[in-house]
Amino acid sequence: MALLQITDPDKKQARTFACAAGIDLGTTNSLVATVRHQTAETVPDEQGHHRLPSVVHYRLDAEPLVGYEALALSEAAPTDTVVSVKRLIGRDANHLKEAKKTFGYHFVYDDPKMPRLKTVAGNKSAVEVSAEILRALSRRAENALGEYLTGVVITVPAYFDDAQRQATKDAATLAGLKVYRLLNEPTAAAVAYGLDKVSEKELILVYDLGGGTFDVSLLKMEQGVLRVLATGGDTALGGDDFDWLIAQSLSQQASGDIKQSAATTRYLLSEARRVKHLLSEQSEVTDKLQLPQQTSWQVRLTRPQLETLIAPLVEKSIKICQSVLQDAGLQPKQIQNVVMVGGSTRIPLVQQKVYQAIGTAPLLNIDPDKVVALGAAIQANVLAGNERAEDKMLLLDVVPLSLGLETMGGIVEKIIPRNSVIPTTSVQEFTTYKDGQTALSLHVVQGERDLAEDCRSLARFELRGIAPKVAGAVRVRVAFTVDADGLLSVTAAEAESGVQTTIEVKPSYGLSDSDIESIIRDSIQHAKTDVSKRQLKEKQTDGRRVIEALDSALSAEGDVLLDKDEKQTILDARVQLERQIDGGDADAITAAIKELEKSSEAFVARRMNASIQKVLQGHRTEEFD
Amino acid sequence: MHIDQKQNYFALFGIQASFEIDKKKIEDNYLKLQTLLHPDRFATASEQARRISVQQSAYLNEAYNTLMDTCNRAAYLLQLKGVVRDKQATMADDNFLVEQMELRERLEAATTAESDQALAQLSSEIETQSKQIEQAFEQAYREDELDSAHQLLDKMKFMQKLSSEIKISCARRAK
Repeated sequence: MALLQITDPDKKQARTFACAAGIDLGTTNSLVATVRHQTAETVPDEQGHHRLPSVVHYRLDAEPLVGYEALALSEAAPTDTVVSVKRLIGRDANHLKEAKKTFGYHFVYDDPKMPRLKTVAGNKSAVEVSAEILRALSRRAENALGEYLTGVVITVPAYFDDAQRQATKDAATLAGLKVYRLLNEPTAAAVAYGLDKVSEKELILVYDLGGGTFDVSLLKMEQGVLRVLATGGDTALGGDDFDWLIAQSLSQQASGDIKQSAATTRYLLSEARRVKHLLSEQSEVTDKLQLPQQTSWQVRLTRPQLETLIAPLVEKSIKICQSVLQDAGLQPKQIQNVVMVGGSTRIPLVQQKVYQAIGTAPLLNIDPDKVVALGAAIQANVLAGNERAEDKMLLLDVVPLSLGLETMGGIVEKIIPRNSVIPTTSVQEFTTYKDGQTALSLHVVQGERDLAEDCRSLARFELRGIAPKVAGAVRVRVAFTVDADGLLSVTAAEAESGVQTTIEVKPSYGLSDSDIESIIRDSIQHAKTDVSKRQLKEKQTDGRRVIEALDSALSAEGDVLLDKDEKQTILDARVQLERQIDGGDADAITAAIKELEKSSEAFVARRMNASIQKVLQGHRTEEFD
Repeated sequence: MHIDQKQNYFALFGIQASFEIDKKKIEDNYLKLQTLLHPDRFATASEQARRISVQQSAYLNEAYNTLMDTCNRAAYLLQLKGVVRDKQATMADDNFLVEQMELRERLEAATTAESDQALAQLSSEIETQSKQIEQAFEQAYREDELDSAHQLLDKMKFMQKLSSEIKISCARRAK
């Protein structure tokens, strides 16, 4: 119904203030932030912790523990405690072989598309684990706000493919959250710095060096629209690699072997991390190491030594920045702002190298661990409709990886190239190649490689029910649409004798709607919160917002765009909705909202048209027929 | 439903259909329209409104990409004139093909020799030649000599491909 608000010039604040939150669902830690009193802030838990470790510990016959409590149990109960689930989400069996080695999980492969982890509380998918983290964060925000959340913006790495995005969205649905938008992390960071508010044309480079991954995005701000021009990165470059190098150096000094045992490795890595953090503040650190079967060793590391160790890796990240610039046909000196994201950007050498490469001092005044969540909160607030029209910025994202179709011989034909602005649609036409052919099978893949087997397989499906004819006589038009969240949907239509049959095709990964429903039903039985009460409250809020939007649209243009009868039909539906809001039946409210939306459909369309004409006003005179 | 998807891309941006375009104006109108139509404007709207918005916004992106790219714009202009591209058609201009082969050999040599200077020289030559072809296309199109315009479009495509290969080669050198 926000549709009705599009030309509202400046309706102060909506009366029903929507409670929206931004969530940074991180590999190691997660954060939730909201906008209160026009400022975005991360929300702490009752103990004052802003960060929530992204760790879930499953228990028999009890709700899982999430966060610090779960983290404390990760060594004692490794198989029941899931860490770094972000590395697993949206990944199939092939990808998880690595993870199994690293984390020692027990995977169950009864569904190859959706491997599950064996825990004491049953087999859990990465989607379910992530849902627990999201649930904990949303509860925290709701407690702090004293209101139910109407919707959230969840951030994802720019390089996340379709399956990883879909799985993240499924996790939110499982957690009972409405997702306004999946937002790319670098874009969120730029928003947090208010770079979407600059009036002049500006180019922004976002350098995001996290624990495990490096991500760089090039953005352009112009006329209130923040556009992603290009992205790049390395999914295996991050602070963890620095830790490893430091740990090796420390263990050499103590004449130890870093790989002596898993416990030694873990011990040395945690010491390395501590030393690394200290060396961002001071020029030298001495540390006492206690390796097994050895007396304690005094080790020492200076900042220059650290810099020599990590310089090649930092250099690698700079090279990636340069090639992203080149992709976009830009010179470093054209960049006005550099935004730093991720804990590893606290390292002075990293800041210095970025400064040298781009020639602009990087922005550092927002905590690089919080910047993404803050940006997400600001965007959530905008999407919820809490911002005045002229304060609304628009974020245009791109497809991170090319989408393609497998053709004869396993070759990929690209249908949507990477860095295409989304939403985007590509229509492909197929013809039958055999007489009497009634089905057509398609395989959609994502990636940059030429062979389908080297790309990520997203969906395989068959279009059935084609009328049998001679080869080549039937043409099927298949539309591949990537929405603003970067999610793919496929629609096929048979163009034959003017009749179109439209088939909605759901990609064959992630959870089906019925899966989600059954998991939600199960979790409701265990949940402590009164879900139905919550649903009613949410629906009542939805209903009131719909009515408010309608009223303001009617008062603005109702008499111009509607005749008497049309207006009356809408008003009747409005009365009906009001009655249901007071009635207390969530389903009835939903039905009444649908009814009102249906009756105002033409009105909505006319308003949209009118506003488009307005934009193009002044061009009309010179237009040809 | 709201943008008339039957109206041509030029009209969508409020400009006349021609090869020479006012990129600034397209850019301005693109951003204005996207601000109105993008699904983010309908985050709290009904499923149906969101679906329409995705279609509209995607259509707008397609229109923008078509007009902002030289070859796509030229092909679109010919399409509006009803010129259908014959997929079997081959380049008839032998001289042009020979030139293309020579340019490719030079690109290969410059890449192998890792010569930035040779790459830059080649790149600027190709740019000049592309400009000439584009001007010729513009004229042919204006004078309604569609066959000739069509052949020039094929040449433009050759040049565009070559130029993108040079870019890739330069990018690899930088790495």
